[in-house]
Amino acid sequence: MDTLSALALGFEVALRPENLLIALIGSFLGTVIGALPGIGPVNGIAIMIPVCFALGLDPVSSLIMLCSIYYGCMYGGRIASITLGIPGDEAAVMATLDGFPMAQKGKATVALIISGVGSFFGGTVATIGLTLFAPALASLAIYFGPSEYVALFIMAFLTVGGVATKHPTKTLLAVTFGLALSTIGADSQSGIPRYTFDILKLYDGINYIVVIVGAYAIGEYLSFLEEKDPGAVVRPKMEPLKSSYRNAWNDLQRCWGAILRSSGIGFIIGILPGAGPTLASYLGYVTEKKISDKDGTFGTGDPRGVAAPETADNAAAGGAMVPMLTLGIPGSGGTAIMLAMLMSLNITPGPLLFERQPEIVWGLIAALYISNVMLVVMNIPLVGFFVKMLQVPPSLLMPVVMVFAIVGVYSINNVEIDIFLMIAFGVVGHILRKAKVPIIPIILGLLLGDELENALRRAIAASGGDWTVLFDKPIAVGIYAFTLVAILASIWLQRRGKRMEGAT
Amino acid sequence: MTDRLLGLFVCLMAIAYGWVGYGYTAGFTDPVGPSFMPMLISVPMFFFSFYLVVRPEPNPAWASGGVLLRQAFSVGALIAYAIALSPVGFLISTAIVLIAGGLISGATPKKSLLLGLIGSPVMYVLFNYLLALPLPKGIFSF
Repeated sequence: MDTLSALALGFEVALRPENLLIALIGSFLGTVIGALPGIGPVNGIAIMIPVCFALGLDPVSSLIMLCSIYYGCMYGGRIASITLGIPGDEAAVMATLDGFPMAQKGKATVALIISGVGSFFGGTVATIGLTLFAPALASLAIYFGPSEYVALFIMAFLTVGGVATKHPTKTLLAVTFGLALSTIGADSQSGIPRYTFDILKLYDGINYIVVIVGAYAIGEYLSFLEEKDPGAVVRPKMEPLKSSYRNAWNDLQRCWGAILRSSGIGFIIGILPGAGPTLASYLGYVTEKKISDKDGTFGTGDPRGVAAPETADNAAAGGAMVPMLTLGIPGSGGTAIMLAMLMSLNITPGPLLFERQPEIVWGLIAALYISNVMLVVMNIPLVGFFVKMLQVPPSLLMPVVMVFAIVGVYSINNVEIDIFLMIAFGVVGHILRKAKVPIIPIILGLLLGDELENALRRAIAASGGDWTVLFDKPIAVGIYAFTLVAILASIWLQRRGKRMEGAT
Repeated sequence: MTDRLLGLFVCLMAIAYGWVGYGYTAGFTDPVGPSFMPMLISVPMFFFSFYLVVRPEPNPAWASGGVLLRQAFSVGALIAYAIALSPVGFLISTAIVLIAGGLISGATPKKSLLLGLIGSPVMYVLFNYLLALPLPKGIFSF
């Protein structure tokens, strides 16, 4: 099936009235959740997973729901970064550099409109890239055997967070911890129960959703309680929308170059395993600063300094869908959670998904185009409404989120032990976050551990116990070489980025 | 100190994990049995955590006093809520946990009370009718 007719099939799925409605609700809810104080994009979709289960949606619709919520959260999340200078997550940090100064100059609405337009372009360019590259990668991946998959998983683990994280040892420790969690339960090949301690419930293994909602929702609540004045509400000042349209249009004329360049940078960074939106927004900003900052206006409220990181991080979020859908390897926190959702629905992403269930893949891709349009159309006129979300007092919001998380997780399997596990993972997640051990690699290890083990054991068993089988396939060797290059490149990019920052 | 303690804890965990994992054998001869993966994981886990013990990074600021107490209370409230949910029912236990949660999070008593009394029925309608989740009715089960 060629790409165009596949895409047409996808639009047929995505344009069904119920799926359109789901995309609309998801985009709206996502923006609201993202704008609420203290809830970032990853937390946002983590909390909404149980709701997708509760609604009993079919796989395509659940995926459309989660993706539109994720994109919506990214739109909503930047409201706090720009109007208040408080980034909702790491990827939003760069948006505060010029966004907040713009807001202080009385151009908050203008900055938000620019950010929305940039996000739309970044997201759309990435979706076009996804449409073109994903089928090609999938048709290549169809020839992958266990050895190649082992290489891919190792690449995912070694590059998660780009190794460019400040604490590579802690990232790798988190990966091994996640892998260890994945071995809990009955061994899928011999049926022997491992680390179950005779608790019947553990025979099925640890439920990813429970870990994710625990670590994100409960963990976030515990961190929130450490804030100085948790009940505080801030009211950002907004200028009227009508006059802002003209200003935003004028400012945008200077931003097109930044938007185009950042779309490309973001998409490429997004495809790279493990790099994700944080690195993309960072590189988008520093690159644009190097190219356009002739008068030293970056950092004082230059609209291009808002457009670049905002475009890049949405492009990266789209790019991260490429390895997730074609290889089953997520490149960012958001796609990791989407992978967890897919696996819970018994769908294994990978090349076979493109052959056997094209309506899922292409329905999702078409839905991404649609949600991008919905989001930009919804966000610009409703920006005043979404800004109001910032005024919801977190001290009243957080308890409601907790009840949501508990009831949602309980509703998945109707067993109480899931709630206790979730609370336990919340406490563990909070402690790890304080110790600067990242959570995403743990989730990645837990998600991919089973498949890594199966691929390893199949490869070695097939060769009669010969280990060298892992390294004598050309594609596998190529992946290891690429991993090495990716690690070196991310170290180099980070150093270069630091120098460029230091130079100004 | 945090890193050293965490590293030490994970070190011990890696040893226990590898030790237990070593004992798993399948009934048939398989060059890579069920103990293969645990062994493969426990070794790097041990070394990475050992590195933390030897080369710790500066301590994060841990919560103390009132904040720690609030965190403990909130975890306690969530556990109590999980236990009470089935026998007491959604409406009453949710109202109580929302009031407690509001107070712990720093809202005024009046606002917390309103949160519980309004939030609980609103969420009941949302979960029960819109999302069609079967909620425990508890003492209202007539």
